[in-house]
Amino acid sequence: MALVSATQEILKLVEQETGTPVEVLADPSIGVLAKVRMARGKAPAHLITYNPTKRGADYNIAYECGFILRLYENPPEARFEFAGSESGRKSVRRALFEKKQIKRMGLPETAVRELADKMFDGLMTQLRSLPIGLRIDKWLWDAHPDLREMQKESIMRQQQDNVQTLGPQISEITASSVFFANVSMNLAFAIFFDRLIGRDLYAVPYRSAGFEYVGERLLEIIEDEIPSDAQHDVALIDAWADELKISDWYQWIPIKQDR
Amino acid sequence: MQKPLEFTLSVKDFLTFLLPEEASQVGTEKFKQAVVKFYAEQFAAVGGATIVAVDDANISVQWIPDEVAKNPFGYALDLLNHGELSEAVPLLESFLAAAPDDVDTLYNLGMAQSDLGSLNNAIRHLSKLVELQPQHVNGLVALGVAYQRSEDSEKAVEVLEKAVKLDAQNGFAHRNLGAVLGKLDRNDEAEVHLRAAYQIMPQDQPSVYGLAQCLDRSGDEDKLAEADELYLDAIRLDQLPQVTELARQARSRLAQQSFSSATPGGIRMDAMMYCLAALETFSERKCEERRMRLGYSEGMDSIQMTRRANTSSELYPASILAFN
Repeated sequence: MALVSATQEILKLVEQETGTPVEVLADPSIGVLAKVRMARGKAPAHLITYNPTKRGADYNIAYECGFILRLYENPPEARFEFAGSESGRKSVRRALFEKKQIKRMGLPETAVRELADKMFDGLMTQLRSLPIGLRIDKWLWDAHPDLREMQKESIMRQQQDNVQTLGPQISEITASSVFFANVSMNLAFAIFFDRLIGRDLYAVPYRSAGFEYVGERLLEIIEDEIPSDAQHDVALIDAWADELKISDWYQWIPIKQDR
Repeated sequence: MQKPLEFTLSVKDFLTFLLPEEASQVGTEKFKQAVVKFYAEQFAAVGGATIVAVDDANISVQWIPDEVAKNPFGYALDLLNHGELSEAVPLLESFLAAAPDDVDTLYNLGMAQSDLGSLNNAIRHLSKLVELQPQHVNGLVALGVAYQRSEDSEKAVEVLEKAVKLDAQNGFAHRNLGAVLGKLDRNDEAEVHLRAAYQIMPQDQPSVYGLAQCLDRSGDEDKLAEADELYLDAIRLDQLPQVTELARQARSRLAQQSFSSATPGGIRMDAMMYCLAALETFSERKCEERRMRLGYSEGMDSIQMTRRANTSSELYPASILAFN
């Protein structure tokens, strides 16, 4: 697949800024739009894998590049890896075992644990990606108008997917703390996108379900409280986690410098 | 294109203080009406159409942007053209419920269901289409493919032969008939149709590859040379990465066969050329791969279908090929 020039420029920028080649791999089997594995140890290149069956591959690749660029804007000693904590995982498992609907379903213990782990891992990925992702989206929107249509298209699709979490059965089978944090972040994303496209559309469902305050608060943190440079990315995630009351669900591990 | 937004909330989750006080009692008629009004007002500023359904348990909201509301069928086609079949199918089903004899809907719905593996439904809808419009050649081709996918080769041949008879210039009909006949080991008949497809659509990579494969199967020395040329053409056309890869593999196999049949002590120049070409391709690909590695699936899907944009006379000329 030929990439548009804006994406090629961004890939070049990543190679220049990090001094490391970028490999882009199409893989229809990945469950997400795209993912990145940054160069480290035996991996001599940054590897961006994208799902070619999803629309907007260029935007998805550019978005992943944003994460690499932001990490490398930090000096090596200030680069951290995000990892979910055991206490967070246990807390989600406990909460899920307590859910009435889960008890009623009579699922085996291992299945409930697996479900809880999936919820926990998903939420951690969201917390790790979304706040910084909003910074990246803003950058792409402003600096790369060529990608804008694709970006809009992709985000609209994500908004449609995200709003399904408000559905009647979801909260009944989700650990409450996970549900609250997930929907709050989804709302922050919805408000962010509404502002970007100048329409009040995607936040409406959340507002009618009573999530407005916390979503606005998360955006306030990103827009007014934490500086937008990459050196504050860790602080940004910490501030969101604090607001969502999940500060002890993860830890920051310094990235070992082997290059 | 702006996309519709759909969501469902439990009535218990709706924030009743957003409604006038007299409507805040959940489950009452006033509550239901107020919820409908609330969403209609919320989405009024962005235009489009808002459909709200409230029952005793849930609130379902659908917001449809203007461009979709004005041309819902165009929206469904847009989804199909971008491979978003699962999203398109419910829309097409709703159109079909409103107009059960609409041939365009039957055709597109049948094709999408066939791609999604819902073969009984695909056959039902495509059969109805050709019953309503027996001259619908692309409908016949799509039906033939659906039969082949459901492993009813006899029916597939019957329907595809009808398509070829109706329109001898339809390359897709020839291509698919040739492919099905090839699968039935009726290689000579397959060759006739694959040659016809190639003649009509010489730049269509699957047709080129399909003919090459058929000639390759024959084992005839002259045909093998022609097959190799065609594989090379298929590689040059490079429209579908999987087909390109299969053509590369086929050439490499042919080259190995040539080597092994070479006289002792001598080197066959044609085989040598294959190796050189392969090496050149390899070095080109290495450079290319640094920027972009395309994932090839292990094997080809047995039948592949591509779509074209809507035209005034037809929606999707069925472009279907069965690979062996």
